[in-house]
Amino acid sequence: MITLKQDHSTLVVLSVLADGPSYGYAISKAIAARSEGHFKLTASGMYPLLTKLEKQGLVTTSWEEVKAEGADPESSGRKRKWYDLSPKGHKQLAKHIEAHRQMQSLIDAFVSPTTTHGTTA
Amino acid sequence: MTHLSKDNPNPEPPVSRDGPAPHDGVDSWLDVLTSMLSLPASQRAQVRDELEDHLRSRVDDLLIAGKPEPEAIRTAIAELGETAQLARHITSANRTPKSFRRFAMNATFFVLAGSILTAGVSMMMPSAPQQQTSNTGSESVVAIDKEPSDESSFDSFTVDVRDATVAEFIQQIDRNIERPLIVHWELISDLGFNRDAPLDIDADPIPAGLALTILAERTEPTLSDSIAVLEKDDRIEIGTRSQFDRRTSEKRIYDLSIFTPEAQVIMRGNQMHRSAPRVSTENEMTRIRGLLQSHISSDAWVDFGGDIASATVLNTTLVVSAPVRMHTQIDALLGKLIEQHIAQLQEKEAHQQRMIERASGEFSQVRDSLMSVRMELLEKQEELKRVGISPFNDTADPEARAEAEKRSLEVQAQQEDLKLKERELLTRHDHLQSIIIQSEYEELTALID
Repeated sequence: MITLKQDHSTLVVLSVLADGPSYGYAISKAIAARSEGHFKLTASGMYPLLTKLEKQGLVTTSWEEVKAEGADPESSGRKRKWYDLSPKGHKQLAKHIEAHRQMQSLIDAFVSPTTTHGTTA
Repeated sequence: MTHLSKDNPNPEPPVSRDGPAPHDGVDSWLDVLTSMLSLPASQRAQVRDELEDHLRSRVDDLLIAGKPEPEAIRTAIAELGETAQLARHITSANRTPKSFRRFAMNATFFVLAGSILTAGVSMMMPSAPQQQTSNTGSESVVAIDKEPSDESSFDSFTVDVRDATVAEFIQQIDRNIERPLIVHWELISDLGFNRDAPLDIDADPIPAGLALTILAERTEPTLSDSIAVLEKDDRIEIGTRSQFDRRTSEKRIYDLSIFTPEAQVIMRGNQMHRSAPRVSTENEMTRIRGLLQSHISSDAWVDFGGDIASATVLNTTLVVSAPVRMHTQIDALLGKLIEQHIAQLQEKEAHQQRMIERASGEFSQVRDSLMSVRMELLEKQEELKRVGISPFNDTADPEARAEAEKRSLEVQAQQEDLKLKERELLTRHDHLQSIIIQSEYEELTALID
């Protein structure tokens, strides 16, 4: 299990939201599922990050009322906050991906390919 | 399920549910967390609703997985981590305005000798006389939107800002701090801060730091500058980021020699192969400089049209003139780059070690095969001799003679095949041997060094 660092968290969360609107718990599950359980974004990392993305205008939010299965239809349910990637968020995601590739390229420049051939049969 | 405000850019949570609901472990935990949030009541309610949804969704999943409810609730809460830390992070995030540039530094630093304070410094009150302050001693810039663990003079007291103007709010701050407070009104008024304007914060007494953050949110978002606080030993100043940037600019030299190809040879020691470096040192230094400039306040660099910071490559060092806040970011980014760089080199080293081990294993196999081929060659040589001294050679029996010649030709053809195989094996043998000898030599050299 790898706990995501701040730099990667934004990229990961924006990528998850690029697939469609989602909410906190579903986002954390999507991250775990897409990384096959290797990535973990803690609650104290994810919710402040979502707030930051909202303040930056990278995501839009909306509230939904959720009722438990079999609940009294007259009763009120709990509230769910949905996050949706804004056009600005889509652009920011593209920038993050580009920056990520630049960083990869930089690191690659320091090391030879690890799949060197020729010294063994 | 109904989306209540899908298109509303500033959504409010739905009205709380009517009627009493059973108070379980989730509610108890939410009560504690909410009490730790230093936020206005409306924000606290939203945070509570969102975390309740998270917890109850998780509890539902755990119940489906077969856990008893008390255990499911305990697990879901435990997974959220340490409550106080979560509350601090959420509070901090909600207090961070988008228009407020982060001065993430509490460290004390020294102003460049010879620089002077911006002219037109005035006390916070409109009628206060102009003041010119000295520029000696140490000073620090405190982030208004600082990290939760940071402490500043503004966290130790609360202010009542209901119906207050900006100037009255500043007055309250002035009364609560021991050091003189200097407000650079002329500069921050350019950011849209009018001292007589209402603060327009409808809240109970709140920490002064939080009120400052909310005030900063009013900064005109199209401006590239923002409000900032400079904390010095003998006073506190409220001014602009660009103003303090210029005053706190200093020159630092960063050693980038670890990124040179030569450093890689030293680090990789005995496993270093002797291939030529793919990039020159100069290109590497330029590349690192470009990376720092593109990731840290890119519009501040002289190279990119700014006038706050400059960076020059000198051999294997980078000379940077920049505000301390940028130096802090450079330190952090360079640290990460070096960390990744070393990890990659170690991975490469481990890979080459595995290659050497594989070469050694293959070398033994090739050597055995070579011995075997040479034995076969000797056998063929013996057979040729036997065919050559056969009595059939002297006999006039043409059939036997033809048979002997045929066999002789077959053996010679086999000999040629074996010699070809021997040459191939010998080439491989010599190649592997040179790799192993070289690695041993370099290991020895590294030990001597």
